[in-house]
Amino acid sequence: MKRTKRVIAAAVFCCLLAGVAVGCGQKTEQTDSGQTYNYTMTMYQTEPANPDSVLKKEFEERFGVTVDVWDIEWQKYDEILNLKMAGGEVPDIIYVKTAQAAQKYVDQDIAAPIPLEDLERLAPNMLKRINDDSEGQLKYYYIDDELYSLPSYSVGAGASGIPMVWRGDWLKNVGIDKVPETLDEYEEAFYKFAKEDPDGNGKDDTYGLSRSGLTSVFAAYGFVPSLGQTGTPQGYWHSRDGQLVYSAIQPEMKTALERIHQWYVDGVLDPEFITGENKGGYWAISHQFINGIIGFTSHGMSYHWEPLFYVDADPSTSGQDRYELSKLNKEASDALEVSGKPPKLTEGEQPTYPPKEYVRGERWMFSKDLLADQGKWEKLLSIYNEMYSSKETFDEISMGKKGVVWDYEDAATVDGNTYQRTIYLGDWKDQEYRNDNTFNFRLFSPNFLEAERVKTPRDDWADPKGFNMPYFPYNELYINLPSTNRYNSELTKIEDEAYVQIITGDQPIDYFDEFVEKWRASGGAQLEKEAQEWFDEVNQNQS
Amino acid sequence: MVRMKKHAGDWAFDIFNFLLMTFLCFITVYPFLYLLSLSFTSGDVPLTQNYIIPPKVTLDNYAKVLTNSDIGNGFIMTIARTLLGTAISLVCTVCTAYPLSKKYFVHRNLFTSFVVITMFVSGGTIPSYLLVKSIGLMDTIWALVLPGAISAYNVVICRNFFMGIPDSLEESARIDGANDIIILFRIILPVSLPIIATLTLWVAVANWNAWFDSLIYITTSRKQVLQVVMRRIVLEGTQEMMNPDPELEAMLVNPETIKATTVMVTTLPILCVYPFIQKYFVKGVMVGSLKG
Repeated sequence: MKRTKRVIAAAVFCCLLAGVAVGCGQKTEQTDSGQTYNYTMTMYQTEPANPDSVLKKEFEERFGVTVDVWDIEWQKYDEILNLKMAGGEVPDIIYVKTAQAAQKYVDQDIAAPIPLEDLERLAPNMLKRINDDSEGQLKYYYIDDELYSLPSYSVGAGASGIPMVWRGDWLKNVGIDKVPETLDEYEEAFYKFAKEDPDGNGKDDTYGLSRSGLTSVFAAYGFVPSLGQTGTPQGYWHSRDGQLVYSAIQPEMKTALERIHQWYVDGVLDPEFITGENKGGYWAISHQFINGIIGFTSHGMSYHWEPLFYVDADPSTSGQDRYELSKLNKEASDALEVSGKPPKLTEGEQPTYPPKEYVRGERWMFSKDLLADQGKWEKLLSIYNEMYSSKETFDEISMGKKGVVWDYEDAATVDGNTYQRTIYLGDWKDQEYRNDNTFNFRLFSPNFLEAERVKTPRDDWADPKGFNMPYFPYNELYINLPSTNRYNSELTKIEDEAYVQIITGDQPIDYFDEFVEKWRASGGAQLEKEAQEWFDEVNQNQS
Repeated sequence: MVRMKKHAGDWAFDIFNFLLMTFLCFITVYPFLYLLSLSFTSGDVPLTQNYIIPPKVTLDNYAKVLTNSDIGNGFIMTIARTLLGTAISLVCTVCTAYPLSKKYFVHRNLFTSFVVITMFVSGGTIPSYLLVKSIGLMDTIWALVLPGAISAYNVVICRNFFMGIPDSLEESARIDGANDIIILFRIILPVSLPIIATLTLWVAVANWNAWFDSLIYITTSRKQVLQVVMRRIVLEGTQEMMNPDPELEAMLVNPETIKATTVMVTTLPILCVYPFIQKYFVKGVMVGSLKG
């Protein structure tokens, strides 16, 4: 027995030794130092990149470089990229999913700081776009006083936001002519939906709202906690008297919860609000709303509810939720009332909040090796500079040549207007061919100056509804705090549990104060401190 | 044989059993049935409702999925790795387990513990990755079949089965002049069909279903196995795969019907293997292991 143990110990030791030997034995990759630079990069992708893509070939010819895109599945992105980095492979251009990961690449000495004077000297066009889109946004990408990343955002698609969606036919059926605007009007409509059989089937089987509608109700009070949000729920942080405060613990939320609890008791709030409106499949589909169980929702984003714009458009190209509803009930989908304005607490002006910035967790970083090779780095910046010089150039590089790959055509919309629509030509009409032959080297899609931009029917649909205005209180914390990863999942659990318990009456309304204390004690106080520090710093840097 | 009379209690028990099993079967089969039905459903049917029989039947989904070149490539790769992987794994497992089952094998327990120890201590993903990379297996099918060729668990199961075979079989063969190799392949293996069938099934299914190794070791997208392709299609538009770019998101999501069809197409082939191996299962794998 003793002998066996000794042998086992020896065996383990041998294995460890072998592991160390393997770890030390890797070769360092040599970068190609010839005339043509080869750039390795990662990016967001739903389809694997095609190395022989037509647009990629054009890009490489145009700039005299070669590009090697690594295929990394998005869902396992961080995990696989870490593996590669552990194996000594670092892409030149790194797509970073979260601010947390960005911090890690800085700590691990993988990413290099970006000299601002290089951008000013070699890529002034790009810098100008970034500042035109959102003045001073680069301040959010500093780590330890150095610029480490460049933004990755897209504003070309027009306005989008959290929608307030009503069943217009139900409103009419219960005798409401005007789409509700104040919270009291909302409440009245909710009660009528629940009590007055809006679908006229003679059964008491409808409710006013379910989980996502709560977001709009909270937003009326000026704060947006995690319960009710769709997509990736996170409690928002909002500025309040020069402080950055956490939404879910504000006293206004207590008032909101009291009201919602009453709706729950009265059978106005769908009891299934706990599990949500989406019952599987595409995340943005609200099954409860489409199946006619609730009459109001804020599920998904505005573009999931948009109608068909062009006369000749295929029905399946309207917003997914609207399309699903139209298959079930065409009249209901035609009568939808969509708005970007959350309910008001009182009559009068719609309150406004700080505008939503484009800043997001996703960003671009550049490897140390890339910046060490001055020629390669400067070439890259010159590529970006040309790319962002004008809308024409940007479109040509990211979509292909106008007149060959795509073109504008005049198209009539349902409401009798004519817009310039982008259409694809020849082989490019085929979606699969397009997927196979596109190539995206861009960092972000800027909002080119109004004069250069072609207005889309989506803009003209969404703008009057207020989606482009700062009516909704969006998150004002643009980074992951140092302790976010440590506390967040636990805190969100505490928060959602407390909210659900108060709404269902498992806990009295005064439990809210207890919850706030518990939230702070479980790490929330630390987050509050860090958020405030960040907020102060950013406001100080603002020049 | 004595016929036992059934009492009322027995009947009640049987009925309860029957109902319970039916219920269990139903909740097991239902998700599958749902996907099957969805895969035959036309895209313009409301997908927010559940059906067992689709209101509008179509084969378009299958036509679309089966002509997808990624799925075609994936099939070739998956079939290749399943055949190669299963063959290599079976040979290696049997050849490891057989000597370990012999009492006269010198230091048998020592070697067995060598094998068993790997069940408790594993290298971890990063060291495995580095190993595969540094011995030059990256982006080849060998990276998929070699690292998992021998599973310690399978070796132990197989060894225990071999230990249950009477020594006299081996002795009689040896008297006739057979050597160890002949004894293993001509005498032992033919009486070990249950364990061979079982291992084949386990290994084949594991190979068929594996995707993570392909994700990290295969860098050419055309060489990805079927399950990677399937995951990519099915996870589109779910929260895990949410697109950070709303502009792209709304247009690139495959309909649920296509997703369901993809699941069917990728799962049915391996499902067809089960009926052929079922009969060996009935005899039981663990029967052998108990005697160890």
